[in-house]
Order: sequence, then C-alpha cells, then structure tokens
Amino acid sequence: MTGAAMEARGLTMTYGRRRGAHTALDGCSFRLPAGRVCALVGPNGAGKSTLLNLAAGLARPNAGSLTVLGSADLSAVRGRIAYVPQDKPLYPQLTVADTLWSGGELNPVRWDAGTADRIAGKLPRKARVRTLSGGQRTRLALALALGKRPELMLLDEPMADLDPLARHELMGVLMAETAEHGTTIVMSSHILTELEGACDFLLFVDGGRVRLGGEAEDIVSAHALVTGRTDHGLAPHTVVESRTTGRQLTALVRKEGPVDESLWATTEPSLEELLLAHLRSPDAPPLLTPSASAGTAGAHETRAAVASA
Amino acid sequence: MSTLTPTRKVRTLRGPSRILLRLHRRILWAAGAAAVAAIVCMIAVAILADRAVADLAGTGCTLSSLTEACFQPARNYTDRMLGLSRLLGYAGLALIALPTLVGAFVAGPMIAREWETGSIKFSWTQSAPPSAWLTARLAVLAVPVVGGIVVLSAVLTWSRSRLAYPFPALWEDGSAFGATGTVPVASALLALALGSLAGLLLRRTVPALAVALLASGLVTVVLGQVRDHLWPVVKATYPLKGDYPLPKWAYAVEEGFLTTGGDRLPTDICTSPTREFEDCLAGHDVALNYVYYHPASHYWPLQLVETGILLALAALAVFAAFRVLRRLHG
Repeated sequence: MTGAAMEARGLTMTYGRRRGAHTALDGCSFRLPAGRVCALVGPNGAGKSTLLNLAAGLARPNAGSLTVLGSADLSAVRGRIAYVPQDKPLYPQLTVADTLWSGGELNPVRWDAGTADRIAGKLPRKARVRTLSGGQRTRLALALALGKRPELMLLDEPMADLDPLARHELMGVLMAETAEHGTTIVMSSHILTELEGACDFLLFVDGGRVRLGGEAEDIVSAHALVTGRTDHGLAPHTVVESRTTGRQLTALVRKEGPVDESLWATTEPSLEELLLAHLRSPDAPPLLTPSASAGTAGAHETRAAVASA
Repeated sequence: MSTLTPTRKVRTLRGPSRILLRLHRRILWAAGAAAVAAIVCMIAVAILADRAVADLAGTGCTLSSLTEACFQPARNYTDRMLGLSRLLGYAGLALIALPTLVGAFVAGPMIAREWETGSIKFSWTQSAPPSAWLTARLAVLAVPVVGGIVVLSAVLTWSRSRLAYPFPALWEDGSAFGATGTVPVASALLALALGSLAGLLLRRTVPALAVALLASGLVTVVLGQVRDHLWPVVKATYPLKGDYPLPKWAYAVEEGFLTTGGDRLPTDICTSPTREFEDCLAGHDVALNYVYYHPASHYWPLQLVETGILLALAALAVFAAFRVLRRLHG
C-alpha cells in the first residue's frame, strides 16, 4: 500500500458563532491513497469546499486532524499542493503574462514554466485577468496549478466554467499529469457525470461526513439493484432505498454476502443511481473501503462487506 | 520559519515582494512623481524666499525704515514672505498627513482587497508562506516610504530655514514639529503597521481603509495634543513689572500669575477694566508672573520621546498583525 495523500480523522469545522453557527464538517474521517484521481462529490453545502480549504492550509479545523502528503503541519507542504478554488481567484489587475510570471516568482524551486505556458495555450498574454471569461480564467488557474508541479492537486468545481471541448482537453491534461508524475488529484463537483470516467476514487460527502469512500469500482460492486416480490425478505443485506410497485419491490442494497438470485433479479447500479439513492436515504450507514478508512477506527463493519462483495 | 537560514528567508521574500511591486506599480510611480514634484516646489519656495530678501536689500530699505519710499518695498517683502511661509505650512501639514494616507492604502487596496477579489486564496497557497506575503507588504513599502519621507522632511527643514523675519520658521509650529526630525519616519512606520492590522482584521477594502485612516489620524491628533507634556518644561517666574525671561526661540507652554501662596492664576484673570488692573492683581494676592516653556534645546528630547512612543506602538501593531495572520491561515 502506498502512502496517503490525505487522511482526516474526526474533522469538524464550524463557521460563525453561537446562534448563527453552521457546521460544514461534522466528524469527517477518510483516507485518500496517493496517486488516485478522486471525485469529491456531494450536494451543495455538503462541506466539499470547506474540506479543500482545510487541506490547502487556508483554515484550521475546530476539531479533528488532517494529514496532507504525510504532514500534519500543512504549512510545510504548501509548496507541494496546488489549490484551485471554485471562484478561480487570481490578481485581476495583472496580465496573463504577468500572472504566469507570478507563479514562477512564488514557487521558485519547483516551477515548470514550459508546462504552465503550454496549458495557458492560446490565452492572449497581454489581456488583463479581469477581462478574461470564466473559462479562460479556469484555464489560467489550472496552468498556474500545474506549473507548480504539485504532488496533490485540489480542484474545486474545476470544470464548471468550461465548454465541452475545453473540458475534454483539460481533463486529458490532468490525466496525463497523474499518469506521468503520479500526481494525486481531488476534484469536487455536485454533478457526478462531470467527473465519472476520469476518476478512480470516490468520496461522497453529505451533511459534513463522508458517506461513501473508496475505489469507485469497489463501491459500485458492493451494492446491487434488486427486483423481486415484496414477500421475500432482503435480510441480511442492508437496504439503502426501496420502492414497491404493487407486489413488486425494487431496492438498492448493500450486499452482506451473495444475493439469492433465484428470488431476486440483480443488476449492478450505476454510480449515479448509487449516489442518488444515498442522497434520498440520509439514514443509510456510511461505507468506507479499507483503503479509504482513516487508520483502523471505523473500518471493521465495512471491511467484511467489501471483502465479500 | 525558524529552521530557515537567512538567505532562504530572503529568497522566500523575493517573489512576494516583486509581485507586490508589479501589482501596485502605477500608484507607486504616481506617488514617486508626486514626491519629486513636492521637492521641486519646496526648493522653489526657498529660492523665492532668498530672492525676496535680496530684492528688499537691493532697494536699500529695511522693514524698520521710516522713509516713505521704503514703505512699498517693505510691504511687498512682507507679503511675499507671508505667502511663502504659508506654503511651507501647507507642505508641513501634508507631510504630517502622508503616513496616514500610506496606512490607509496598505489597509484597503493592498491587504483587504485581496479578500474581496479572492486572490488571497492564491497568495496564501503558494510555496512562499503567508508570513512572507505580510512581511513583503510591510518591508517593501517601508523602504520607499521611509526614504521618501526622510528626503521630503529634510528638504522641508532646509526650505523653512530660508524663511526670514517677520515669519521665521518656529520649531514648535503645529505644521512643522511633526514634519521634521525623527517623528515623521516613526509615524510612517506606525501607519504602515496599523494599516496592515486594520486590513487583516476587517478584510473589506472600504472599512479597512476608513479604520486605518481614523486610527493613525487619531494617534497624530492625540500626540499633537499631549506633545508639550512629553518632556518636563522649564519653569520661570519674574516680577510683575519685570522683563519676560524667555530665551530666543523658546516656546511658552503656559503662563499666568503666581499668588503669594504659590497658586497659579490664568493671565486673563484681571483683563477689565484696565484702570483697576493693579488693584485687581493685589486683590488676588498676585506676587509674580510665571511662565512654563520649552527652550529650543528641548526640540530633540521632545522629538525622541514622541518617536519612541510611535515606534513602540508600531511594534505592538506589527506583533498583533502577525498574530491575526496566524489565526487567519490556520
């Protein structure tokens, strides 16, 4: 097993004080192995941006611990992380050329001007950042992030502003980057389809906690979409969500051993169906695969389920 | 930070400093141009003052000449000298206000605005740490600001020295004391520190700018009020009909009457009617005049005490700013 790019234990973050307080992360624990491309998904306000902000060292959690690239002191790894926040903040009064130059000035040791320039592509070098479109800004922000030669990239809603062609191109660049340099990438989105296919690891955050975490394949194969008669019990499987139409029952279950296929028509759910089912069933227990579990705590219940899947 | 060697510290400061200069290039050039223009103007005032003296001397007149032909040249000379003295008074006030403006600029456009544009998230997630970001803002600006103020204040001092009777330069002038000596540099450093603290605390451009203006403005005003008491005055008494004991260039802080019992009474206790002046004084049991004053030799002690206060406040503000910075970036 390789090292962890990120490891969170009981991470809690509250904004505001007393009555106006809002809990963005509530005892969030997970582990992200290095070298993965991770989709950080969840509804709006789930705590995705807060989590990335904490990992980038821009805030300190109220409780819990967060280790990034093996260091609990996030200021020590600042140079090895690239963070592209949702609003793609850059200096509005600088030109594109000056912005690329500033990346080199602020990261003198690792800066790769060639990569940054290549990603910036056709952006007009003399244009000021404030005159760029949303998509152009995203491109410039990604150029700065990649020019830093990071070991961990934290991208918050990176593709939201891009047209399909640019999205495809930049996704390809990111994939090449991780293939070539083993860069760990965390991409957040509230639209899973934006990331599906590109990501091999999933962190589904909802209500300030990780509800599903692990290799996308393992998570999918741990579940089954079953259809059968209502009078057959679904025990011992965990029912995430079920729906009855007349005498027919359709359910998404988390498998505890093999499903009796003589009674149930079984198909594998798509990742999207899986997430939607979990969103509609806030009481479904969390599932973290061993590789996504922080330390040993909390891993016992889920390990057996995954092993048998 | 503590494990870094000094050269690495300098290297981490280099990037943020160069970017800071690039970001605010225009305003820095504009400020430099304004400073040069101010220097040229003050030199011009000095030259004009010299010429006024020369012109009066050329007519063979003096201000106390009783020849009628001398009245007009004397009047011309007095008018010119008054105008020039006023100009340097304005220059002094501008120099006193300058640190406050610098502080407001640091607080608003230089620091708080980064939160409004969101660029702080960019600035603080690079290899150069947030502490370098703040140090650059303090140090990179301190160098030209201190340099500029030293030059401006030196030129002002020199120009003021060219002013002649009846409007000579008085060291205790409200428009001069805070614009000469070591006070302006210290007050610039304090304004910088207060500006960065206000910017970090408020993180919104306009409120930060306003609070920085208020805070360093308040310090300037309060120090102006208490300045006379920062160094012990010289206390003198003299007989009711005696000569005024103030040496040349001394500055009277307080004066009045002293009773036989040693109580101090204000000068206006017996203003009217004049005829009964002496009776009135006798009625109040007045024995002597008194005057508390600062001789010209108190200029430097007063300057240095005020400078010390300003620098101590600046150090406190810088310390507080770094504390706030640490709290902000987690």
